[in-house]
Amino acid sequence: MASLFVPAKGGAWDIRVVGVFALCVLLFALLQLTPKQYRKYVIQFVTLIAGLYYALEFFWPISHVTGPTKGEAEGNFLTPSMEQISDWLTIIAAFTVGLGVINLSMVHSKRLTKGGNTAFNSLVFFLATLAMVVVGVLKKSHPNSLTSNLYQILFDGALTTLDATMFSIIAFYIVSASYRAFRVRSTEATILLITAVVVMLGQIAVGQALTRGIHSSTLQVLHFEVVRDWILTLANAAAVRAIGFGLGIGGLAVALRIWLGLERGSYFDGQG
Amino acid sequence: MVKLLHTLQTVDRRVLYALLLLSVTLPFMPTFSNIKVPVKISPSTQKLYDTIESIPEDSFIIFGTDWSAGTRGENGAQTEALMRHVMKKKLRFAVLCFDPQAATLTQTMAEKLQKQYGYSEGENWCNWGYRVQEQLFFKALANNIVSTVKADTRGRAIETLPVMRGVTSAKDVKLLVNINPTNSYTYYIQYLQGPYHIPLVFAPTAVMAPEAFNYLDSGQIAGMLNGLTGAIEYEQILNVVGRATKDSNCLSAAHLLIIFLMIMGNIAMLLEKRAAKANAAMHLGGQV
Amino acid sequence: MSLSSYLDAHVLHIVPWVGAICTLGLYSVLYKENKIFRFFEHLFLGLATGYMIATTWNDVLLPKWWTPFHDEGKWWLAFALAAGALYYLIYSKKYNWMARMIIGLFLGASAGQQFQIFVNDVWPQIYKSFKPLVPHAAIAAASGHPAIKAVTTSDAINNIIFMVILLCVMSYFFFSFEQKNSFLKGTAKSGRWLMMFTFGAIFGSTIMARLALLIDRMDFLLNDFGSDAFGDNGPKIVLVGLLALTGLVLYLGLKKGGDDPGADVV
Repeated sequence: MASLFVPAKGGAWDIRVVGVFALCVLLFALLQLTPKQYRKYVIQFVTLIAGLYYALEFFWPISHVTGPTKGEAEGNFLTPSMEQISDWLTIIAAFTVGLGVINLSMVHSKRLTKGGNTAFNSLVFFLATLAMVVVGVLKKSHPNSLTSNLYQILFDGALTTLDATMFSIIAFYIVSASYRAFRVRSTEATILLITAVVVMLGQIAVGQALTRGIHSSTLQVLHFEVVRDWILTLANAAAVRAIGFGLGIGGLAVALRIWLGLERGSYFDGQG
Repeated sequence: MVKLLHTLQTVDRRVLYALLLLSVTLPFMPTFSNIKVPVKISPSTQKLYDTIESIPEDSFIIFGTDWSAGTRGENGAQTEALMRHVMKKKLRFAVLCFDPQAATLTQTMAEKLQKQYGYSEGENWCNWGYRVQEQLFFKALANNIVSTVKADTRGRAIETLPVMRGVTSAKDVKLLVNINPTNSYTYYIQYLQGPYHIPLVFAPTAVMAPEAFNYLDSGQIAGMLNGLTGAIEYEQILNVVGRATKDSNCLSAAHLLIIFLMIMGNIAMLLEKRAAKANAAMHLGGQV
Repeated sequence: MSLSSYLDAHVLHIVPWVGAICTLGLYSVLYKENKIFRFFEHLFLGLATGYMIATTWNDVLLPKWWTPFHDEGKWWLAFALAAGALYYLIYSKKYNWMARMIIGLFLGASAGQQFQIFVNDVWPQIYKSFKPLVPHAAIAAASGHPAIKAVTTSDAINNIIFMVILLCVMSYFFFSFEQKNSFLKGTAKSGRWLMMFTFGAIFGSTIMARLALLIDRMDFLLNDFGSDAFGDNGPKIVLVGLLALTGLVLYLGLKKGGDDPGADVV
């Protein structure tokens, strides 16, 4: 088996690659023959096997093993294959980058063909995408001063600036919201507001300076930064932990349902 | 009075925006920026500092940065402060990113700081670059770093880099640093800190910090920088004036403005309620 | 002068100018929704999409797939391309069930790792929640157990508060049965109030996070761009410019009378 998977060059490589694609097309065609009512079992089987590998690798007793690649590690009989499987899954996952691009392209090409006010913006979207892909890839494959400078203009000049600015706009909205919407209308809102104000005062230099005049050792607990730390490390941490327990147990239960194919709904039940 | 209250309640949003703009720009002017108000070092920041200090010189650490320019205001300052300390301590580090922008942004920062601390890429640090699928990556990385990472961002096989000498698996990593605006820091806990007991120090944005205090309490995170304030505190410990320290006065001014607005908004609401009640009472009285 | 040599000479000045124009272009939305903002918004979207494609190729697919596959002759990596292609069948009505197969592979892989996640993430928190509730002196290490730190009275009080909050908030999330018991009702109600500490802390922290981003932008405009474009007095010149622009926006906005109708409440 191992002798089959040896690197090839030139024509031998071409034949093998074409062979792989032909085999895959044949396999997919055979899969397509699966009756609709049984397709969900195929999906469930794939899901179960993928999960079983990682679950077994975790639960199986460990010993000292040597992997096929460099280095030794503690693990079980499944551990040495971990890197190859991870590599393969990473590559397959990386191909999903096209899904988002296709979705965006579909939306913007519709707008572009429709014309009107939004067509120009969609054109800008396509040109910007193209420019960044070309410059980004060329910078790596053909590193020279031109690609490096263009990359600097597009990345440092435009992309990072636009990204940072887009998120910073929220600061303006939050100020307006604090003034207009943050009102003491119930006990819960009052606790929330007081906590927020204390945390805010405790996290700024001027706020901390306001209570710095309190020198008595017993009253130092009233320093804004001390109260803030108490809220964050005690009251907040305890509440977050309680929420986290719920999420952790819930996450495990959902994972088990998915893994064992017990989850109902459009995902497994859809027959395509 | 009623008119004034109504005006206060319906003030144009652009007036509020202008006030905010003033509060974050004026403190940059020399008259205000020369005012230095120190901050008290919080226990979480001190713990982070002590953890890095406890790592022996020349140890290998993973320096994970998962932020993009969208959170540079906080994570940029934190990265700079932490990288300074790591370089000052002469620790070898590899940059690892699960955000595509982070690899370039951290590279730029490391290149800027390396001259100051006598570091050179490949010798004392390297950039593993952008990776996808944290779960799969960490699961494989823990067993074999060389075959999982393979090459740095410059395409060099990592086993040929002097910075990677003696590093084969997670057991050779002495510290994990993660600067991250999302909750994907938990992958570091689940795949490296937990199973291999490697200390993890974390620098989240302030939004994410409250959630992470839970992990700090349980000891899964050894130390933490809480947003921009954390970075300001860290620069103060390191005795350097970096980005964060310069931003401190702006942060104070803007916070005070928001607190003032919150109080004013509530006073206006309460006064208006009272005025409405008095009006209703008068109206009822008139009817009687 | 060729483009290459022009950029070599001027790129360090072009970058801050591009940055400043992009920043102000996006901030124009603060006056009202407008075409300039839409232009820069789409520019951002396009650049971010292009950057994601380029980085995924450069840092993942090129070293992990293309180089071994094409340059090193590992032809069997063509299977990865075929498997990746299955994702794209999601757009086909006839074959989209096969896309669910590959999605299932990743869901399964993720689900199989949940045991490790639970053990390393949640489990340590469970046993770390059992905190000492009674003050005691330090206990030295002895055979069979490590040294135990002293617990002061204030530590014990804090630990009791921690436990009370933890249990109250947990009781709030008991949805498996109807909360008829008055004690449980009380703890659940307290749990809701106690969670407000967390939400208040998150709100206060969120304000800092958002302000930090704005401060970063102003730092760029005043110091980085200002100094580059106008020299030592740059920050002051940019500040005056920004204030003049803000004044103009306020004048135009207030002249029209109140918020623009299309704007969000905030």
